[in-house]
Amino acid sequence: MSTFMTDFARDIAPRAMKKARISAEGFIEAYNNGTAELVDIRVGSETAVWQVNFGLKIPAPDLPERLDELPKDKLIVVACPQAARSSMARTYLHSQGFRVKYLEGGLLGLVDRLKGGRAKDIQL
Amino acid sequence: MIEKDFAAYLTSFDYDERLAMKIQAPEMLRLYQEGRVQVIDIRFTEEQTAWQLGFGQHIPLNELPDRLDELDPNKTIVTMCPHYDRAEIARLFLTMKGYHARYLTDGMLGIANILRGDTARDYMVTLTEKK
Repeated sequence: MSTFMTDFARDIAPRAMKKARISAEGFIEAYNNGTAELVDIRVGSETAVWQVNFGLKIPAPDLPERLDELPKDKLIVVACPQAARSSMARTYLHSQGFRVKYLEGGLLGLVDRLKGGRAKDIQL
Repeated sequence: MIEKDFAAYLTSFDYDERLAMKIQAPEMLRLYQEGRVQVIDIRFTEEQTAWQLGFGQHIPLNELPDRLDELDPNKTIVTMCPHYDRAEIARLFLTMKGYHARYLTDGMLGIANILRGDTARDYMVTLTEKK
């Protein structure tokens, strides 16, 4: 077992979770400050059905070949509909040395947050 | 189009109309595949700028009165918003204007929730096959 995975497992505790995830509110603030980038890791057929009109679209299975597209100077926020796949993607990118969190509540939580006049809260 | 009288509509409102004015996501997705409905996103422009569905048309609710010519009178018009409150306003307006309109009870958030993973793939495959 790799050292990374062993250390990672030892860190799976409530106090460490804030290092792994970010709320929709926290993401919007960081995005507006220019300190975070969204990465939608859904597969192509999912992004064809509905699209978030900001951030990057890199399907999770393509991440290993497309690491060079990820910004090195920003917090990477990976997101899927909820949080199952994004949590795995976050672990992978973390293992590759990126500063990365997964989006708590997922893309569904984010678009629910961005409804009505509150859609303007994200500066596009 | 033959416009309806609001008071007459309310007077005749019954259990059948209470059902007929709504459409749930599975039926909407099926009828859209079959080309029998026109799907309209009636959210404000800034909401559509943030995120959108990969199908249907965007006509903001406050532009709807001036853009009726974009609607197909031979199809059922399905109105949708994040949940359903504004979609119902649009549905009522279109019904008064003489269109056959229903509002999506699941909302666009419901569609986004339903069309994930393999379900999204299967739906888009059937849409492509239709075209």
